[in-house]
Amino acid sequence: MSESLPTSGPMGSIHELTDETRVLVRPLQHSDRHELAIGYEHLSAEARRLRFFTAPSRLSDADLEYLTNLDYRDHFAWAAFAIDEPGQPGIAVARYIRDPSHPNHAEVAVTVLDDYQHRGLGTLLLEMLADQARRNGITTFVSHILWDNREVLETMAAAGARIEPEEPGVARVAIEIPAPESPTLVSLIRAALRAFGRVTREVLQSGTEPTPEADEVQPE
Amino acid sequence: MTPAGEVMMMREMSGLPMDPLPPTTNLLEPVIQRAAEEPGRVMAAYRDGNHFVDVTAGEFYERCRAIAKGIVASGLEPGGRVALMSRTRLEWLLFDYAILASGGVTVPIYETSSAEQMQWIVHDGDVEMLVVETTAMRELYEGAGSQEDGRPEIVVIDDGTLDELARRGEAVADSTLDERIHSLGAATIATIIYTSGTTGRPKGCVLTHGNLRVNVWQTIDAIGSMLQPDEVSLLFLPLAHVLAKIITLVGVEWGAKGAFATDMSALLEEFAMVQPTMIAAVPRIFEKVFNGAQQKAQVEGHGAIFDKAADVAVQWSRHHGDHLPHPLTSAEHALFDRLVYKKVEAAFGGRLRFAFSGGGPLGERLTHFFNGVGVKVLEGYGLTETSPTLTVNRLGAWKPGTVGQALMGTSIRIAPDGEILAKGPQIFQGYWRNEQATSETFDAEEWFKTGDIGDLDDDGYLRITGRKKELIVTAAGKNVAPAPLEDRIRAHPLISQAVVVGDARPFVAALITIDEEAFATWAAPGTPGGTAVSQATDHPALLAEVQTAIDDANQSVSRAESIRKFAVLPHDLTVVNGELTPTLKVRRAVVEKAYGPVIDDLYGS
Repeated sequence: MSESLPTSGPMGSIHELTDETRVLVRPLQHSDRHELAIGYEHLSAEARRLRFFTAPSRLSDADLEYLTNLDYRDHFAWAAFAIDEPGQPGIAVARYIRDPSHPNHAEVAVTVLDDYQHRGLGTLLLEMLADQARRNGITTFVSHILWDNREVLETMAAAGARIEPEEPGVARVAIEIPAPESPTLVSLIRAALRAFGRVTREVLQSGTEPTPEADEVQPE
Repeated sequence: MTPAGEVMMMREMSGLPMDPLPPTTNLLEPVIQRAAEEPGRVMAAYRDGNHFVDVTAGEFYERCRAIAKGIVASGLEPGGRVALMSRTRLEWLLFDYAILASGGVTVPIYETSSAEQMQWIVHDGDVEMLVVETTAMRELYEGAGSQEDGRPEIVVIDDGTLDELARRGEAVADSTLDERIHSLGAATIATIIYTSGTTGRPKGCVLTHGNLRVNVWQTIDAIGSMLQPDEVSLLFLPLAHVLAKIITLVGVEWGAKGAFATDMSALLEEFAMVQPTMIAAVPRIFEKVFNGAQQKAQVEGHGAIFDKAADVAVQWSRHHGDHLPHPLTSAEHALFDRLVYKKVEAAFGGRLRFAFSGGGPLGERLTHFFNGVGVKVLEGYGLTETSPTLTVNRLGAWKPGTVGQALMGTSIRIAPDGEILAKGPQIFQGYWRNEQATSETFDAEEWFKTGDIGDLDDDGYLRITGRKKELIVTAAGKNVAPAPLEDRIRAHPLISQAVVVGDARPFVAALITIDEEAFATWAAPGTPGGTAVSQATDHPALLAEVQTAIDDANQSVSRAESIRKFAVLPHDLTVVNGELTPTLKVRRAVVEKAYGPVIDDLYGS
């Protein structure tokens, strides 16, 4: 299927995290399979549980194929790489997958390696994912999040997400993706900033225009 | 009043207010008072051969003091922790009160706990003395690792060290013990009960004398109108479980006789011997009695009559609500009363009037069935952290399917996300030496966060609808965290996924999926070589291999939490079947539904 990137669409961009670590964010590619398998091995047991609930000990070939075979429209994922480190390892993935029964809904999952958490990377990826989803006609992000994942739930609640109980241990989180010029995106980001600290964006190379609200995202 | 047309959901409800506790309140008071005022009153009973032997309040307190002196003589200072691992028996209660009288803190350990759990509780609780029931328990503990510089001292109830302890205490003056007792107060720590969280090690819930005593008063306030002067209870739940503990304490406070059952397998016989008027039980017990009566009727060829009688009992109860005891208003009900209901009542000994049910949800139908039969089941709600009772169904305020209204002095609030919050004097101070867990369990306004999800109806009855914690609650009332068990099972290279099940079931079981890639290269002797996993789910060699992973996981938990059975699924969990979300998160509820027949097979139903 999609072995390469679509001809039009997002390219990579370099961003600086709250601790000034530089990361390259670009769409996940089929050739990232190996990187993804290694990344999973580096994920702590707790992080795996928060991501997959009852997490497999390793990702099978079938899982890896599924998670890297993207069409960039119904199934899209950003991957982040620590470009200043030897080997430029992959450190985070944020993906959405459209819900076939509610085509304007998509399920979202964001995973950041333990050592790179609390630096604003998850929030940055979620925001970039929202940009991409909006372009592809998705209006609502849905996520299944363990109640134990307090930090994420608190951030989502502050950003106006609807959070409701699902099966034992699990919350269903739904958040409307705001229009680009809407003030709610700013409030979403501000809320996220309060939780995670400042995110600065240094857009070096991008297929998209810098978003106007980026300038407004300053600490209060 | 709610403005017309506006629907308002009740978000907070409080029981009647209550006065603050006197600071001297402690758990010894009712025992000492009874021993002084009615020394001949029967307080407990234990089985000896074919009969139960009564123990008076005077005898009980005397034995309690002798043990307490022995504990003091052993060097325990006020506040020191004594772990107590035993099945429910007279000595459990004696030791508990003796530990408290000596100024100590009781740290209960389930009799079925694993060596790993014992080690953890003794270590984390900084336990100075370990009281175990049997030499096998001592060996289990000693076999698991090194003791730190002679601590804890180990006392074995069954091998005579108990007498030795009492002899040691003879040197301790009465006044020394009295001083220890007089220094007890509402704020003194009485017990630290370890509970499992969703991940990580069990945490110690710190409950004070005040927490437990006030919960006794709150409970008696709620059910007092049902209590008669000569109540008899049969005690069979593990006293390490806070529900069993509080109902035992209610009996002591009220002056009931508490008879100690010997073994679950002798329960029916002992119901008949003791003829209790009140019990505390978990849903599994009620299910067993119902299923037993139904099966017996079927064997005798009266299955249809029993089923009809059960329907009538349920309907009768739905109409008559909480009236007690059954005024025979319907002819059908009266007929079945003789034919069927008396036999069900007889299973409980024939005199049982009410039963507390807790530890897990009891079905609404079963509650109505027993009410229709003449046994009022009072379902309540609480956690170890709340001593435990927060709400209970009671006479005049009884609504099956709910867990009742808030107790006196207790407030229940529903948070915006649905979580049940609580305030009240029975709520604990925090987790033992775990500031972080403690602060996470209270919100900014000091409400205790239960981790359960529910709603309050217009009349203030609480209904439990879900759970924030990823926990399984078995029908035996045991909380089991699936995640740590699953982690250990998955450590086996052949296994890709493990889903632990057992919510509202009699025991814990697991569904296992096999890693196809690892399976293809797996070559143990007797291996089903060349076959697909789907063809090999029953292969003895594969099952034996999976069993080793299950055994390893079971090392970390007690027998009540351990995985008794498992099934190997023919294929991995898939997105297509909805067992995984599109981003591959496991949906337990869907898996359990999809493999319903497989799970039913595991439970033999």
